[in-house]
Amino acid sequence: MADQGEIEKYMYSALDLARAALAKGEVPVGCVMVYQGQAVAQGHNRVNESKNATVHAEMVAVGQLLEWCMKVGLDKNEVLPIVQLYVTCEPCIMCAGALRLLSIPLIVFGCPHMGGVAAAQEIHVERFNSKGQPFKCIAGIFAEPCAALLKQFYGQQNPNAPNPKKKAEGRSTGLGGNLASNFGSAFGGSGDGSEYYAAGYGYTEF
Amino acid sequence: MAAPTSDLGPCKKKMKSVDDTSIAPASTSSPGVTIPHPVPVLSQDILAPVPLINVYVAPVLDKKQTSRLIKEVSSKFPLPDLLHLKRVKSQKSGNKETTIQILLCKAPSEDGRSADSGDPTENGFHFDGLGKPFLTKVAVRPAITRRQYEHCAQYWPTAFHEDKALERRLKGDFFTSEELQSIQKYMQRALQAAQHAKHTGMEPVGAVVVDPVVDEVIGVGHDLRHAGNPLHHAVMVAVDTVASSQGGGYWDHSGPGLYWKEEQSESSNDETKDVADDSSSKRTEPETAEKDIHLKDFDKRTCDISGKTEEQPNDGPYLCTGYDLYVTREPCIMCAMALVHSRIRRVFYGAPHPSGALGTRYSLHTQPNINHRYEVFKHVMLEECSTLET
Repeated sequence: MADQGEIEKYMYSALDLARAALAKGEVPVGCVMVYQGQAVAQGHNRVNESKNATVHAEMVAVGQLLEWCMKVGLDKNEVLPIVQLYVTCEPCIMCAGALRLLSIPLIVFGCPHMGGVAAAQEIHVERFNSKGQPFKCIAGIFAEPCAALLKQFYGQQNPNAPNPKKKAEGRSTGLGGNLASNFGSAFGGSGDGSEYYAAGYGYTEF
Repeated sequence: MAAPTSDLGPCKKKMKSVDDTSIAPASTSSPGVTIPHPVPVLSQDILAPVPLINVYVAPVLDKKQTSRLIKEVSSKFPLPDLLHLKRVKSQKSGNKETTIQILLCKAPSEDGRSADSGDPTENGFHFDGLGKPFLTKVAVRPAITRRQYEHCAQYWPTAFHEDKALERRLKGDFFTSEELQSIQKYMQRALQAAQHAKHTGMEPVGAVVVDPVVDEVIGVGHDLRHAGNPLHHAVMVAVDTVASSQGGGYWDHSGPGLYWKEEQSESSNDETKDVADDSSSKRTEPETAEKDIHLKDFDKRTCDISGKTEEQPNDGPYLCTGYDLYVTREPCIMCAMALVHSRIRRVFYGAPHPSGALGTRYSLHTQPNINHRYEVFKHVMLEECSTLET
């Protein structure tokens, strides 16, 4: 497990990626993947550029990680279970499901998703079970700057949406929010949430 | 769609789920052929009876006092979460005498935690003109379906607004025979893609995205999870081919031997088809093929970083808005949420899957607070889709 200095270092890079996304008119979420103390893959949201609503930062980073494995000749099935993923915003249900399928063990994220299906997910959490391994979460690393970028983005308008509507400040997740912090265990069926803990950076609420 | 191969159970086992029993899939007969009706995948809120709770009611002793009593009782016992219930119930008994009961308040719930108030008879309850209060059962929330309404109304009068479209869904006669044929036609395409996947060593799942307005296939994909990226399930691939058709697209699925590539070349010219066939044999050595794809992909992406994003008109197609998806196997949670993100209109799937997120293990599409909703139908060409796995 990475120490706090490490965690902040990688989250700092993820924030830089989120800023780069914002500069390109993308939802400002950045993601870094770390293998044996080395950042080997990164990405930011590219939904507008690709016109594919599933190209979230995590998906881009996973794609890079797989490329990297190929390039350096490592077996992805050996790498994935020991990488850590740093992302500025809590993974959506799709990404949480994906990370679960990949057996990524640790997700460190900045701000929580605002709005979404938290309550419903919690109710059905133990009903959900699929392949892969549950992941642990560390939440709230640089939560404020991570959230501030999203607020800035959603305060503007999504240039690709038809008939863009004025969005209320602070309402996030135009392309699908949804709390997924429970999905680590949700997808594994361990389901008791005990594997989750906040890191004491001022954000402790799940 | 969802889970790796080891998860696959025999699909027929899953055919029997709760909603199957309540909705008999009707058949629409067209001359000669009978196409089974797709089964709507609906939430338990719709299928199950509305739960009941205990309330206190009291008889109105003098009918002429009813309207005064309604006013007084309503102000003493407001029921903000039982607004679907009428305040009074009038019943004709055998000797033509009408008896009127008035709804007072919720009874303490059975686990002992008190509701709004306790037994109204205990704390100095007194209304002129009311008899002794007693317990009865009422529906805890409004009925969504007529069947639920009829059940609720046996207990206490309740308001009901019929959802005509939903009632047709429940009856199973909502698709015309033309629609049924077109549903089958598109699932057939998804099956072809799945067959291709199977023959090239991929997971046998196929997906097709259709624009129902122009009756046209917009995107096709089959499962590519074994081709390098374990997340490239058929739905994810199909969604990306839709993006490509709109001038976007992220993943480089343009590699050789892919179903939709062959399909295109078939219609364009034979030479390219030969090329495609040649290279499809290469799929047996995925390592080399993959490397090429990924390096190409990498180049494409690094170029992108210089970042000239082209201005696209905003009135064009947006993601999968208005489109329907046909997929041979029930999507996993990742794919189901990807379809929420993509604003799909309807999802038709063939075989349920043990870890499926649209009805079997979970029902993402019926969750409240999802920021987009789509309708889900299952058992389209169930037989054919189920046998893919074997």
